Amino acid sequence: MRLAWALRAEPLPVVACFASGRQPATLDRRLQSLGRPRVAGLRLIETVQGTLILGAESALPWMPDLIWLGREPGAAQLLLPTQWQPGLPLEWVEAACVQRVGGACAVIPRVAYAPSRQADAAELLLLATAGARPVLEARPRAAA
Amino acid sequence: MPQDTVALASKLRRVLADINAHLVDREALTQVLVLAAVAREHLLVLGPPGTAKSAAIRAVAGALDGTYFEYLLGRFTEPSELFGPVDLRKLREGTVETETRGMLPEAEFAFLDEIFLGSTAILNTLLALLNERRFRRGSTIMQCPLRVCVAASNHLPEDEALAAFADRFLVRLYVDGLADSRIEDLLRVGRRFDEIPRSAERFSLAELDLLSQAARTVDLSAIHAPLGHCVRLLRKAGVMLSDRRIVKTQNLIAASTVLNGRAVASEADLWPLVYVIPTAEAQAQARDVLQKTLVQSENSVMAEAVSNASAGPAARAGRIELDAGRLLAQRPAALEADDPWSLRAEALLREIDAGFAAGQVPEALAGLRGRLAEAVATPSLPTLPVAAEP
Repeated sequence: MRLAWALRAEPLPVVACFASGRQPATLDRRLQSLGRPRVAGLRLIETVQGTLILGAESALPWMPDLIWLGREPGAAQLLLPTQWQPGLPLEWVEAACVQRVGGACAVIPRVAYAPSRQADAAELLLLATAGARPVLEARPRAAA
Repeated sequence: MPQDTVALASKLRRVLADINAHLVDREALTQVLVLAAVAREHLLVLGPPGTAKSAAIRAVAGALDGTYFEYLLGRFTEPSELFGPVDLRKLREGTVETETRGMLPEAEFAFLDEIFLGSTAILNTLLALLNERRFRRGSTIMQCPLRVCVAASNHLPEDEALAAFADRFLVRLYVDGLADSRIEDLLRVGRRFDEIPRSAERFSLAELDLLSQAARTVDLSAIHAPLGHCVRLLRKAGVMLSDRRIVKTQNLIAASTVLNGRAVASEADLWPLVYVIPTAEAQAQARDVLQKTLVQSENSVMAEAVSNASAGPAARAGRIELDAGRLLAQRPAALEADDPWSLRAEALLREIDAGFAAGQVPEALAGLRGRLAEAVATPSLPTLPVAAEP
């Protein structure tokens, strides 16, 4: 069954961002350009589909076309697009996603991508969020 | 709506922008104060000490050409300190009259800090002054020219008698400390909070009265059904409003309508209802409960106040547009990745991209987003090779 998505009346507070396609390389450079204190609180997960960065909203780097993710109080194990909400009860979506991935995960539907990127995107991408590493550990800095 | 009223609303927007250039994140407070003044309702500001409540209130009062009275109340404040001393000459003649010159009964704008510390005698006299705009003490009975009284306190009183007094302040605004992203701004301008210059453009009492008169003639018939729906939604969620507060909410809605340049109220003007709800917790609950109903909320003069009350896209876009415009006007010549200006620009870009789906960003905001994105584009980034598309 295809999961429908609808725009939220109020966006979720940001707790993570996802870069896909060619973006992770640009995101890497962006992270390198940021001060160590800002990067210190960020964690990342790298997959073949892209890079997920988790951290405080004010520390997350901005880039065009990133997918911004937040957390619903009623589904603590899911990261969902800040602008979109699933068309099924949240607890059902959480239970199904957690069972599929085996734990907490980011849920990224195709509709959350910028229109220019939607053609290449999967209908629904699930990324396990367990095992996120500190950015400073994953990307040691020359100056560190 | 007469053209002069529209022009006055525009002027008010400029005056507020001028005031807020000297404050940090107090736009909602200054705007709600002006809304209350146009509606002729009183405002209670609640929040922790040291959050620039007084500075913001004084700055607005300074921009409005009217007689201003301010007093910090304490447990031992005497009624004469607010209302004036007994007229000794009259007392010798056998009558008890109050010499009110320069005191609260003759003020057009009043600010009473730590209001709930006032004695029973003070609060009883204030009740009539606030409700009926009449001052009565001994043989002195006078009609007061008071347009708006702003009271401030750190918290709502628990005492029932004081709570009943607090209920006379229709509008409630809760002020918090600043967000992390504004700390550098606070450090930049905060030392001058005590010496905010008077706004270059001033708003006369006659102009304010013109807006108040226009508000009294606003056609509210179109909002009776949606306002009733909102009240029912609130009751269902356990948020109860007294009949008096429900009725008087219309005065704020009418003021919002006038400031929006219209003579007929619409659903875009319902947002002041949130500020009528007495407690911070109930206001937060109301924002959730009324989220869909207030989605059309909009007011170009008070974008932040609307945005605080309603998270609707139009309100959010209006507030972000103002923030973005202000930030772009302050852009420094040279930028680095983590400088305060760039951090604020990034915060706004995040808020736009996380809050509006692609293709849903209003045109004016999309233009500002482009300018911000261009500014934070990173020419100084290390030039590592870009990986090929996987």
